[in-house]
Amino acid sequence: MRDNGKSSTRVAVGAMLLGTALILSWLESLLPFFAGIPGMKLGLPNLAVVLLLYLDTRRTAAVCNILRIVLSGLLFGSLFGILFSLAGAFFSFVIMVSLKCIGHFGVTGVSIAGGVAHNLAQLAVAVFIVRTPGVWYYLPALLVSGAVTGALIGITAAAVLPYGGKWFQKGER
Amino acid sequence: MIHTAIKKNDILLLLSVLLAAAGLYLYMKASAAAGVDVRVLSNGRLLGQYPLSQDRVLTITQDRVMEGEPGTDIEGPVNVLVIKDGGCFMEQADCPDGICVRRGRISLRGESIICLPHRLVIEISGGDEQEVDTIAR
Repeated sequence: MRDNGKSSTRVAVGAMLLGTALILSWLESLLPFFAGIPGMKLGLPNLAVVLLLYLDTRRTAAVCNILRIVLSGLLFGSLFGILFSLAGAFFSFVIMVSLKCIGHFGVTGVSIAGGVAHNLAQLAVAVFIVRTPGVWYYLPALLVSGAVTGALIGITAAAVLPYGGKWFQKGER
Repeated sequence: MIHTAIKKNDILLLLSVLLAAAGLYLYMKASAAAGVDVRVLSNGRLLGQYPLSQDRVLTITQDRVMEGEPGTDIEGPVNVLVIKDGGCFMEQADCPDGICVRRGRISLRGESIICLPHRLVIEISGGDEQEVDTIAR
């Protein structure tokens, strides 16, 4: 594990980004964006996870990912939604970590892959739950939404990351 | 070490995903045709199949489909499906998210309304099951 400055900085940044993720979840719960596509959300809270993946360790990002799903599920959703979201988030996280390690992509590419992977996994779970392959009909819409939100999150993350790096540098001194 | 720049590979990734989605969409549109039957599947099990040409209201519970609006004696998960003018839509449902109701009207072969909390799928078929499976693959 890398040592990213003082542990107090890490706790503060992690908590702040978890808070950001919850605010984004709340915003998302106000927008019924995908009328009629079950379990699908824009995935804005993934911004916090992407940022933590680059600013801190994989472990911190994973913890934030799980916490934001459980907390936002309890606040704005249902138990069913939590279980459903965990599947997509897990797969998305594995893909993002792998792509980041391979190193051919920037934060935007990692985020796009994460968004697409999330939606693919959610759809696979939906197919499994209802046991009907006809659910794959939603695939094109979900590919586009995953890629576009992924790109927006990636661009935002790329803009924020330099400042995030500074917090940690200050923490070291 | 922070990668702030947007790399060429990132753009290629975005474009290839969008292209794949567009290709899939066009393929689905090209193979879309007006549906013939409505299939009601609960938990992957076919509960009933009804022609789109006949207007009717169906009350769907976990294990059976009844004609007409739901009575007061119905308990547990219930969805009400309306078949009208060659299409169908979910009129009401007591699921927590209501996504199936927001899905609106469907009429083309391969289209579906899904109620995940109730594990219910309303699917439009072309009257020939084989063909639906190829499209939905």
